[in-house]
Amino acid sequence: MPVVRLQSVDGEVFPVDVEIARMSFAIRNMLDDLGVQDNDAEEVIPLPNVTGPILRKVIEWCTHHKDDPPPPEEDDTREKRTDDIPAWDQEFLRVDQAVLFDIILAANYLDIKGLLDVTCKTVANMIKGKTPEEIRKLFNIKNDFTPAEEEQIRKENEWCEEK
Amino acid sequence: MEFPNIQSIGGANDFQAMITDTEMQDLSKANNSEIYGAENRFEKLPLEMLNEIFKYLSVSDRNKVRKVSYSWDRAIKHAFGVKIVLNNHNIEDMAHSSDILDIQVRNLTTKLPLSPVFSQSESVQTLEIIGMILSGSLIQLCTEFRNLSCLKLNRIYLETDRQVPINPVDKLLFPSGISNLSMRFLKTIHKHSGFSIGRNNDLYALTASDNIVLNILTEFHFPKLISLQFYHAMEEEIEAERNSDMINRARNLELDTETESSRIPYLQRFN
Repeated sequence: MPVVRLQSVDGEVFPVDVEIARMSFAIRNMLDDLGVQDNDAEEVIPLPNVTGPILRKVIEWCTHHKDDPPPPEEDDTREKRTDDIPAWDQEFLRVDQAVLFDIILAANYLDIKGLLDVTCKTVANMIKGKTPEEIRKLFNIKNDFTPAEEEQIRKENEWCEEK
Repeated sequence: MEFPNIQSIGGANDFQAMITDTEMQDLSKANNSEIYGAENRFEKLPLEMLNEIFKYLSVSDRNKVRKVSYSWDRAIKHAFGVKIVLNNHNIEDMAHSSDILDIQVRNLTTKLPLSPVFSQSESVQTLEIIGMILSGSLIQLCTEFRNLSCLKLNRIYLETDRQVPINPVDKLLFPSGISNLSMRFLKTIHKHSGFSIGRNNDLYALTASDNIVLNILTEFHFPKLISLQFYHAMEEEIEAERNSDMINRARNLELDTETESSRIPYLQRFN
């Protein structure tokens, strides 16, 4: 199996099957632009926005999902579900917030739609069902509203607030 | 961070006293970092990533999480809009809201959901102001317009109940107390949709056939058509129009008379 070598920002090099590396559209484009063929095993692709530990996680996810069918096209008319995360992915993403958000950024940078979707769903699930205060506490977000702004939103939200 | 010279300040107790409450809180957060975020990771996400996450929330959930922070509120408003339902209790308050993005007026009688015809743009279904439109009639809309006249509008959707036959000519009667701003707004509707505007003593009257309503919907569907900028531009336009009117009237009284006389048969239809 031909491999390509992916280099993280901290200099770690990961040999990866080309087939798996090409699940990233960013890497696929780089390989195509460079004219790298499947048998150019020594080619090193620098990935300056991804650290070694995160790249390892990304490769692990891609390897597990290498036989998955391509994700369906975005359909805005369909309801966005978050209860369909596969068990393996749920376990895979049972990481602390720093890692989870770094994976989101890496998935975005590397343009891996499946990974981006599942990580965003995971964060959405962390948000769902929580009060704003609980969300602030969970993600260490500062409440920077003025009292007037807060009151305005309270009024606008009367229709959806718990009675 | 440089630690102070402990000996120079007298001992461990003094050193402990130098740790502020805030620092203690920071330390306790760090200890809980596996449960709670040690820092706000969302700050590092580009806006489109934030929106990627928010798109998995329902309209109701998005409305609720607006309250988390100013940046979340802005992000949600701009990517998805927010849904606001007006009722008799809060309509006046909402009329002063500074950044309403979209308005959809829909039939309260039938409580029909929005027609998909008017939901093509990605952020169309964003904010609803549910008006009090009677089935097959737009008469009560005048009240809504008056109350909403302070809003800065991006878009307005007038939705009628498509399953209820609409008279070929419906009428909108605007009380004379209608604000100048509403009148300007109506003039803009007239300009862009073909709505007819007439005036008879204390009433402004507009005709609205089904097609004209559709025209309005079509016109107002363009996201940029009624934007904040447009709204301001509109005022300037109207000012220019008013000046132009005065000049024209001074130059040609006959033209003005023709205009007035052409309204009479139209207004008679409401009598």
